[in-house]
Amino acid sequence: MADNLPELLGDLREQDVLAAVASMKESGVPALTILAGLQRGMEIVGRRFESKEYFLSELIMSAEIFNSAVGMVESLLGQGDTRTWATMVLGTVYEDIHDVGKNIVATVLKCNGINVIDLGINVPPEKFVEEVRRHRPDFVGLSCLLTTAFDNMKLTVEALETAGLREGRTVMIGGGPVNQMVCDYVGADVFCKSVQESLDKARELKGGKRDVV
Amino acid sequence: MSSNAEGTGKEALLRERTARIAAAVALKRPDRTPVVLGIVAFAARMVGMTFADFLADTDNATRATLEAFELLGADSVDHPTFCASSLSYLWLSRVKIPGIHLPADKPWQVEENELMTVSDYDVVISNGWPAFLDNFMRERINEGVAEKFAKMLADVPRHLQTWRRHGALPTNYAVITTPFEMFCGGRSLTRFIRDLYQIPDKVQAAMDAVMPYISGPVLEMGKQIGGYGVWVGGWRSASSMLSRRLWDRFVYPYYEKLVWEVADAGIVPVLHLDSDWTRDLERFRSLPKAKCILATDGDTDLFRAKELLGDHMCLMGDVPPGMLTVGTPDEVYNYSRRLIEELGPAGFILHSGCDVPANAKVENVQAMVAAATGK
Repeated sequence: MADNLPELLGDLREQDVLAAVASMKESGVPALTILAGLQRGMEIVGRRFESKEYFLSELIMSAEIFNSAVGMVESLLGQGDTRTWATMVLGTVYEDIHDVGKNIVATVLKCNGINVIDLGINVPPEKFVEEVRRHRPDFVGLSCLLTTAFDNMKLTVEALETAGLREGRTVMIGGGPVNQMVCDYVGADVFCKSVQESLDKARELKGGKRDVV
Repeated sequence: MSSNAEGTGKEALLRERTARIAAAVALKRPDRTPVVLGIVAFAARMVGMTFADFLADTDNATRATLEAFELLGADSVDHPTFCASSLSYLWLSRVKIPGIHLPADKPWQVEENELMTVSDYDVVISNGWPAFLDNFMRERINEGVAEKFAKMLADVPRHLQTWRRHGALPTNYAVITTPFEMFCGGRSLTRFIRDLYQIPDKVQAAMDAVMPYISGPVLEMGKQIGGYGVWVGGWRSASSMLSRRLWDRFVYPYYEKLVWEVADAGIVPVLHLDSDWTRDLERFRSLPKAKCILATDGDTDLFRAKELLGDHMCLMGDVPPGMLTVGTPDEVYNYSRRLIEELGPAGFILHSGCDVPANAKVENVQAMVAAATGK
């Protein structure tokens, strides 16, 4: 069971994954080992997404299964056990309340070892500044669906600069109307058109891969 | 199609513009590339109307759209009028309205929440879609949405006549979509994806129960009022969102059926497709030839669509919303010319990718129009 946990998750066999986790837990397999197996499963999902076998629907489903499975062992994990390799402060910018894409990004990035501080929707620039100052993230993720929110993205980036928090961190933007032109306009570093792209770019920029237990 | 356009000038203009668009749809070469404007919130901004006023009454929406259209000098617009309640019917979601939930000058926004529960599929199957929808709108959406939507439907014929008198016929008089889109909005994306995996047969049975009620009333209305086209919308059901297995089962059979129903009624199906549908473009060859418009938002590769579908359906698009907002007139003009030269001369209509954004620069929209009209 422990051996094929990654494959079960990679195949999106939800009931088999949950049964396997229950069995492993019962057998005394360390929670960290179970978590590592689930994370390897997410890597399988990621590879299948890259090869265009899987799409957003499968990323969503895999994250749902992952979260359900982690929920079964969460209480057994120590505080330092859920190692992450990067931190992102993420939110939908001010005057935009759309969050579906942003939520999926948050979930998938968390499943892949990134500590995501999700600020929610309609987030003013000063709130981004406050949270970036607190968490010192590697990445700041700005999401929008409305083109009228572009200027608020720009103000957020400018606010980070004014606060001396821009240097040394990557600002990533995403959302339906976002493209390179918008990225240049708001002063971001990269734009992402898909959740997998945001993960791939984060890995590329951070050079990160979580420690395998 | 009867017209009450005042005077021979507007009547002739109506005939000219309609013929130009019809030629493109029929894959013939018009006298020049038609340009159609997706102006809704942008129209309000352009004429100095608050969004609150724009949404308060369909007369306001029509007036603003018509005024903006006449200032810009294109061939047509997407819709004769607008009512935010229609979004609730498309996506089983509440809409935050400026002047009520938002400041008067902020754009409306669809609020996606899980308003439809998993047990609702059984209710749809057992009680039927009309009864479920009526109850859903009154109890879970409320805010008078049902009444406002009914009023808009009653107003559409009058608004179409207004447009005709001004020498133009909007390319759509109504919007329909598939059960996938409605359920996805009502359940929320994440929950709905889970449903597709966990209870696929139930979801499909509910979708099948909805289908008989989607196009009928709209097409009947179209026959009576001489409507030109109907949007058949696809957003969350895009190829990029779903594995082929899910798309093949839960999206295309339903989409295809609706398009054929519209075309068989003698009305032009406008395939309004947001996000990326490139993977499955070839499938659209099963749709009626020289009868449809494929309208994409900039994410689908429209140049690839030309290769795969150029001899089969009219293409429409796809000046990106971001370019219209933060780009320059030269950038917009040059891209528009590229579209015209590479996707035309036959079977192409110039348009923005989806709607012209509310904060698009007027000079950019003018540049797009100029690329087609030469003015």
